[in-house]
Amino acid sequence: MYSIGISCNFHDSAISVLKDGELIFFSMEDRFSRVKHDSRFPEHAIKYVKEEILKDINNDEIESICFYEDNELKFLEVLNESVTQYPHRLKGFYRSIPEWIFNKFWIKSKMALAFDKDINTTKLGNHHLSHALYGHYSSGRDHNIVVCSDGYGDRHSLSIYQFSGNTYKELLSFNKESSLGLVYTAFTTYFGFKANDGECSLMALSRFGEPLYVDKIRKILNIDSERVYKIDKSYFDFTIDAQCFFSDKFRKELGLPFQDPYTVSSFEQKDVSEEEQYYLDLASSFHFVFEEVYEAIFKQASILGNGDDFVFCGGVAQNCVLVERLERLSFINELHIPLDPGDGGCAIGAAIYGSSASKFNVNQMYCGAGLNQSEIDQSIKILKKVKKNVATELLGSDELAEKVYENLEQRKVVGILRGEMEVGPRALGNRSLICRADDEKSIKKLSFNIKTRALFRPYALIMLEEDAKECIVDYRKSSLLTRMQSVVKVKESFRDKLRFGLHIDGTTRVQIVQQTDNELLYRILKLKKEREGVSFLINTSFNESGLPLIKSPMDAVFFFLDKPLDAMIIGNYYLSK
Amino acid sequence: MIKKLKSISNGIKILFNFFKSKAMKDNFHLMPLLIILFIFAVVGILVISSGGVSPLLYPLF
Repeated sequence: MYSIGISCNFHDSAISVLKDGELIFFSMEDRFSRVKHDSRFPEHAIKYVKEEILKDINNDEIESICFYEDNELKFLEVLNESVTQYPHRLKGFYRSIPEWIFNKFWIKSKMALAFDKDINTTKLGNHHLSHALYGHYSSGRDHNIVVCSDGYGDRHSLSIYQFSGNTYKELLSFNKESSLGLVYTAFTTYFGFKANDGECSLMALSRFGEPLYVDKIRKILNIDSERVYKIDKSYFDFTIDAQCFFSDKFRKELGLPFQDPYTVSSFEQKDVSEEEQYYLDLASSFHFVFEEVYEAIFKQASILGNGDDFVFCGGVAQNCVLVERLERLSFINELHIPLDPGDGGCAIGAAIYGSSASKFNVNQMYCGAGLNQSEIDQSIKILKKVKKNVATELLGSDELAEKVYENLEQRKVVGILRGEMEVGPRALGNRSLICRADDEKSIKKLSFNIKTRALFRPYALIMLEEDAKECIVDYRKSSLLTRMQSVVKVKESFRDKLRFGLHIDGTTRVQIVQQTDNELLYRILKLKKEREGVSFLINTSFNESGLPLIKSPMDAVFFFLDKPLDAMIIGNYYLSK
Repeated sequence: MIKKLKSISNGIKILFNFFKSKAMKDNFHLMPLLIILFIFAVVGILVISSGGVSPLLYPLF
C-alpha cells in the first residue's frame, strides 16, 4: 500500500511517497517550481508523482494522504491569538484570515482532489510528531530520545519524545513564546540576513569573533534551573504584525543592527573595523549561549528519557556548529539527524503517520526526481545548436571519473547532474559543483562568478574515509559526517592543502564519501587519492544564488551556457567548453 | 463541474468534522467569530461569482 505525506503553507513545501513503509520518493516543491523555499501547495511535485511514481498503480492502493500538521488547530490558534491580543493583532488578523478562509483551511479537500480520492483517506498529522517520526524511523534504532526544535508548529516550538519501537511518549514541550528557533531568526535579522534563509550565514559569521559579550546575551537568553532555559520576551516581538522580530529594548541593549555583514571576508580578516569586530564578537557570544542552552535541553532530555541515543530534528538541527558541540557531550552515545530535519522532511513523517506499515525504511539519501534519458538527449541537442564549440561525449563511469579528474587537475570547476535528487537541502554528489580545495582561483570563480556567494561562508569538503581519519582532529565514525550534518576540526598540518574549504577557525563541514553512497564521486576521489596522495575536494550545491538545486537537464544546460562552468556531467554525457 | 461539486461536498464534510472536533470544543468561545467568518466567506463568494455588488456595500466585504 502507498502512503503519501504533504507539507506546505509555511515554507519548504514537499511531498513524499512510502510504499509498504519504504520511502520511494521525496521532493521539495521548489525543485519543480524553481521558487526557492516555495510554500505553495506542491502541485508540480504531485503531477510528477502521479505521472512517474504512481502511474502504474490502482488508485485504491493509496491508503492515506496525510498533511504534516493539524492545520485546523493552527487556524483556531491564529483566531485565539487575534482575540486574546486584540487590538494588537488586528493587522495580522486581516492579513492572515482571508488566506486561511479561502485556502489553507481546505487542505484536506485539496489533497483528496489532487489524487482523486475520498476525503476520508486524508488525515491531519502533528507538526513536531511528523519531525519526530521521520527522525526516529530514519535512525534505524529501536530506542531513541527525539528532540524537535524549530520556529513553531502546532503550538509547540520544542518537543522531546521518547520512542521505543513503534510506541512513543511526549516527555516535555515548550510553547511558541519559548521558541529558540524564533530567537535564532531574530538574531539572524539583527545581523543583516534574511529570516528563514540566512541562519546558516549567522552560523558562519559567529566563528569570526570571540564570545566577549556572553553576559549581555545571557540577559536575553539563559539557562534556567527550573524551566531548563528562559527567554526574556521583552526583547522580542514574534507577532505577525511585527516589522522585525526584535524589540526596541533589544536594540538599546545590543546597539543598531549590523548593516553589511557581507563585507566580512573569509580569507583575510585584517580589514575588519572595530565596529564590525563588535558585531562578530556579539555573533560569537550569541552562538556560545545558544549552544549552552541546547546542552541543557539535551541534558534534561537524557534525564527524562533515561537514554543516551538521541535524534535531533527541526530547523535548528541544520545548525552543524551546534550539532558538533552536542555530539561531544558525554551523555550522548549517538546522535542522529534525518537528511531533511526541516519542515520539508515533515512530509516523510506525515506519510509514516498515515501508513499502516509496521516497519519503515526512510533513510535513503537519493530518492527525488530522476533524469529522463529523452530529456537529456533533447537538452544536449539544443545545447549543440546554441553553442557549437561544446564537446559532448557519452561515457561509462570510469571514463567520466577520469574526465572529471583531468578538469580538476587543470583547476577547473565541474558540475554533476546524475541519478535521483538528494533528500534534503544538501547536495551530496548527484546535483553538485566540485572543484579543488587548494586552489584560490577555482574558489573565487565559484564564489564570484558561478554561485555569487558571500566569501565568509565556507564550502563543504568531500573526502575518502582514509583521509578523514588522518586529517580530522579526534576523528569519530558518524553518519553525520557522511551527510555534511556536522563540522570537524582539521589538523594544522593539513590546513594548507584544504585552505579554501576551511573556515577561519580551521573547521569544515564534511562529506565522507562511501562507495555505496555515490559511486561516481567515490571514483573521482579515489583517482585523486591515487595520483596526488590526498582526496580532498570542494562540493557545493549545483544552483544559482537565490534558486533551488538544479532539477532538469535543461536547467543544467542553461546554467552551463550562462555561467563560466568549465565542464559538466549530465547522466552519462560529459560536456566541456 | 464534477470537481466543483466534489470540492463543495468535501468542504461541507470538513466544516462538519471541524465543528464537532475536540479542538473546537476546547475553543468553544471562538464559535461566534467562526460562524461570522464563514458566513462572510460564503456570502462573499456568492456575491463575487454572481457579478459583483454595489460599491455602497464594499465595507461589508
